[in-house]
Amino acid sequence: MFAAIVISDFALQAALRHEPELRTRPVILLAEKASKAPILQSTAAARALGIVPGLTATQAQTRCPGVLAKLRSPTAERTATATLLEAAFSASPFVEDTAPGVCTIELKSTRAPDPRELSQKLRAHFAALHLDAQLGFAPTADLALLAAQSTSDWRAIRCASELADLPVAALDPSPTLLCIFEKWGIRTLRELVALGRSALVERLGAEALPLHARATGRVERPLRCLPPPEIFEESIEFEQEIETLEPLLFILRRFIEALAQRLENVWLVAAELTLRLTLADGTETERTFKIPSPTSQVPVLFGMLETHLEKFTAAHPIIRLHLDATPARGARQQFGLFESALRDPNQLYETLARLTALVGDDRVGVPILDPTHRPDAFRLIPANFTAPPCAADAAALPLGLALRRFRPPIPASVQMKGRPISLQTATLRGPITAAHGPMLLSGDWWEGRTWSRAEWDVQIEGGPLCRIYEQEGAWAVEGVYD
Amino acid sequence: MPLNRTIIHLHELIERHRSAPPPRAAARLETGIATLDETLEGGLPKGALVEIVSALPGGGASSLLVSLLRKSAAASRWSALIDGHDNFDPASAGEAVLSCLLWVRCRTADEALRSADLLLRDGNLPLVVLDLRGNAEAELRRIPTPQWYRLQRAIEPTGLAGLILTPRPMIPCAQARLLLENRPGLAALDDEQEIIVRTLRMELTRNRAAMIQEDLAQAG
Repeated sequence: MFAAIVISDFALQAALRHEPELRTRPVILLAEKASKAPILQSTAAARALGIVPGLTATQAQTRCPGVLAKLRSPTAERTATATLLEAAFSASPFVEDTAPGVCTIELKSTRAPDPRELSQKLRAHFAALHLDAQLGFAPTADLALLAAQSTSDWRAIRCASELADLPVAALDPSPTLLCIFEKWGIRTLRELVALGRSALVERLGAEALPLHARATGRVERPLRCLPPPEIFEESIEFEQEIETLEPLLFILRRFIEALAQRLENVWLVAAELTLRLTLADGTETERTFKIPSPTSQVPVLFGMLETHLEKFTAAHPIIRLHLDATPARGARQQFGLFESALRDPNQLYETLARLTALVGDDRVGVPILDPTHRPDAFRLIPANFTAPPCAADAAALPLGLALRRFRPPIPASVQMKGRPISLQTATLRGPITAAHGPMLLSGDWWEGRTWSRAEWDVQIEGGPLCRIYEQEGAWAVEGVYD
Repeated sequence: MPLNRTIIHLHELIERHRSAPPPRAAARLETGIATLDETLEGGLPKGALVEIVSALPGGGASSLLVSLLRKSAAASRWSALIDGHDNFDPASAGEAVLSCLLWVRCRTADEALRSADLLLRDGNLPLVVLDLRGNAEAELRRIPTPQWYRLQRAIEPTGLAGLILTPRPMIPCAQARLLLENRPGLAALDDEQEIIVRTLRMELTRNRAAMIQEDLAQAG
């Protein structure tokens, strides 16, 4: 059995997918922004006012001053096509992208699904994605398509004769042939089939042969099957520039819901989200969110983007929004008996994002020591909580008391008599009872950033044990041993 | 005259409470540092705050902290260090310790407290350390007392161990308070950290769990 999914007025539905409230209003779709641009498609409310495809935008305005014009969006159509195909793949692995807004599925399974159940499931899925779909079920691919076109909901047929009342135009004949049929008074498939195959060919030539074959359901063509889709993205070009957070979050929420639904359909989860914002001056900002515990839960995914956008500022308004999800298989991990797992990795990721917003990008992370003798040389890298922490090697520990650093070091004046004998800073002062040093350090001469210093560990009378150093003739206290 | 129903109910409640088993000892996070575990009777209490007061610079709190982080890393546990005034020296800890450490470098006590609030509420990292010793006294004085109770309420349901290093006693809701008073000499620079921490003098000046037990014993 074959199933056909048809999204009528596909380009218009794709353009209105993220503004579903407009679907009940008179809206027209134009190819370009011009007063004489012809209308490509229009909503039912517009058609009811006499605004039909072929008229110009100006004529539409005359018939209904409140009609809303939308421009055709190839990006929106591409994502809508991806949505359509993903839904089709949830029903069967044999899917053909027949035409824009039309796909055909071959239901090969020995346990063929009930057309009613399948159509209800698919229509509910499309409704959640703000698309209105018609479904047809038939023994051949072409008949399934005709069945879908003959209904506004779903229809299952067993033979071509059930479609006998369809207009001849449903077979998509050439304008010349359609004109001839009209002159002959042939309006339905029943009347066309009644003419007979040989009679049709004798009068109209070979061009009429495929029409007769489709009308009688004798065409059994194989599907041009597609590989399963792996691109999960949503994007929108705003007609009005976005300057505040609320409308952006509103659209993003819809994007996330749509992506999560699409991912769930193919049993996948999001491992990474990439958010790309195009600003009015043409610049783009991109941010990738790694999801520690891949998921398709809308609140988790949305929370990450929301936290980021709360602190996001841009010099220009936003004109385009693009969201891309990298799919992955759901986690099937069993932790070891003694391995400490995180309770909720996604919650931790969210907390880290909030911490970053609070203290700054460069002030949260896992410290890594730089391979140099330069004092206080380290950098912070983002924590990877997905990998279990490796047990610390006690042998690699440094000796001695831990240093408590002053950042920046506190300038000091030091008296020397072969060794430091007294120290004075804003907070520390006194004679030095014992000193250990100097430890001469230098480096980076090969990079032209030469530094050299002499370090001393000193005991201040009645005070702490300090590390002081002299660099370029100036003394400073680097920290206190604690 | 029949007793008022409310009074009867109260009598029943009191009797039930008196006959109830003593409260279960709080779960502990064994630190692996013998002196600390002994002083705290088994380790850091989970779901509670422990205050370590190190009034003198050089009191040994940083060495204790590094040792604590090392033991935590050795047990394959992540730790978070919220550094109130960016005083932590990663080189003193060593690379092995750093690989399991989330370091939050704050500028002010307010930032540090807000970071601690976030991490304690998050409940993922088993050990959260807040170091406020480097913050100015004026900043610390501005911390409202309810803020500490807020942190206490945040950690209670999580089962984390929360350790706060302060320059003076300042946390009214701390489960335990330790006082560090040490004055190491130059010779300590050549000692192993293990030995330094083992010889640290620490005094338990507050133990809320013991106080509650005593109260219950007196009442019972």
